[in-house]
Amino acid sequence: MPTIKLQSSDGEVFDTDVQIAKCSGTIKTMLEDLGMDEGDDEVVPLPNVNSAILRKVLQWATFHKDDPIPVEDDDSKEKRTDDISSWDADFLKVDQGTLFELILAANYLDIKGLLDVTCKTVANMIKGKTPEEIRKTFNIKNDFTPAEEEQVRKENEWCEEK
Amino acid sequence: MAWLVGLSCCSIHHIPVLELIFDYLPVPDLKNVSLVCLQWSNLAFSGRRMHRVRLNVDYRYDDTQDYLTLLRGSKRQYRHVLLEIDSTENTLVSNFIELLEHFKSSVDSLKLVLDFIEYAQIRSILLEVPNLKKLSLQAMVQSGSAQAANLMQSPIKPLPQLTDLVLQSDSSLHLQAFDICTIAPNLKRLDMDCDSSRALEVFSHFSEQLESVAVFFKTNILFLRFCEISFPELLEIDFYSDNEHFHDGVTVLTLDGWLRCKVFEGCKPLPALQELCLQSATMDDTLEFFKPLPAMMPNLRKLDIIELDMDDSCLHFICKHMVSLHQILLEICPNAENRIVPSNNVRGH
Repeated sequence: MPTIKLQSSDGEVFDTDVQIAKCSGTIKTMLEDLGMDEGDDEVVPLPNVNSAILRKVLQWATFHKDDPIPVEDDDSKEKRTDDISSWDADFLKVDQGTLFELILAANYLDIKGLLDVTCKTVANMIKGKTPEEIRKTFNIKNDFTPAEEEQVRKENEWCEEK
Repeated sequence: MAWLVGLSCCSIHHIPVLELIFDYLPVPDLKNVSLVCLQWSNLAFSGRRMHRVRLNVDYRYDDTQDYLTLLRGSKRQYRHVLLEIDSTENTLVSNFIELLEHFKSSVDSLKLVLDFIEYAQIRSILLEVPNLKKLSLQAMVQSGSAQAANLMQSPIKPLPQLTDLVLQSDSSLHLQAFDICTIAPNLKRLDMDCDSSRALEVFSHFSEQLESVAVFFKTNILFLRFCEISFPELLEIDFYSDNEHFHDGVTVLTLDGWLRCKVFEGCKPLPALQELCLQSATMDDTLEFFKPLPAMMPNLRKLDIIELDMDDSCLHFICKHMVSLHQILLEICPNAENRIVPSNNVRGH
């Protein structure tokens, strides 16, 4: 099976199945634009992804290599978050930092499936929580002035799901 | 360096895609998110998410001045706005117009729920929303006071982007100045009563361009004439009625275009109906569509089905339950094999 070499930000080289690497829109375009042929010994540098995260990303891509291409969803609708497969749920049982790094990597590498499932996981961490609980969960500082907070609170009362 | 993963210092602040996460949250959670910090507040109700939120301006309960003061400081670009009032005092309406001015560039759908509105008032409101795509008017438009009478001469400026109109009462159409044919030249979807010849004219006027029609008949006076209108672009039709005498006289019903399987839900039986013709109809669930028909059309004698994606289970249901049928005509129904039909009154092509 043809492979290519992917190099993480910290210099580790991953020999990767081309089909799996092409899960990434970024790598796919790179290969096509650079005219890199399978079997070339060139190394594709990925300066924004460290080896630990790249290893996780490749693990995910390997498991999902036969998935159908995800369809573009209707951006104006609220999307479901209760359809995470049990494999993905297990795979994403990681600390917050890793989860966020996976989101960054999925975004940079343009892997829609991974980006979707990681964003869903974070959304599930937010759902049902009060503002204070959300701040605690993600270690966020409340930087509202009382007046600003009151404006938002009042405005929220006048809003509802369309 | 793998061990560092567990100690990653990447926090949610580094995420450039917070918006993607927020897209997964329903509005009540977005409200909580908007109270977390300033950055989240600005992001929660912005961009695509504004398609899912409606600003409800309810002058029946809250102080009108509160709305104006507070919403003038709003950073949100509302797309959907609802106004509810139980009186149309000019001060209330002009207060609302002032408020709309703040959201002029973003508002594309407006719903007005009130008993009456003067022509001059609806005209001023519509002037504030040049980009309006959807208007739902749950109010009767009236000519109004004598002072407003000279305004009746000034027409409402056409809203070229208005494609979707819900008009609760077709009696508003009697007001000559309120001419929706000129107000909404590019209308695609119309939801309106059809109990006046003016309403029928309006449906006819738009018939060439409408993609979706919802029509409500309080009486059956114009039903048959409505059925004669041809809507070549139609993708969806919904018609409903609440009049028990509605069925009198209706003997032939022709349906085409896109039909919801529950199109007949809530309809009273049509014992006078003798012929039903389904022509190039597209349904979300064909069998579900047929299920209420035996009860609704107990005396149906003739059923014409032309170009319909129906299978044998559907045909089987029809033969078993629609016992009054004398004739079924099937034309271009590729999935029906006809083998199970016991009657020789069936003509197939």
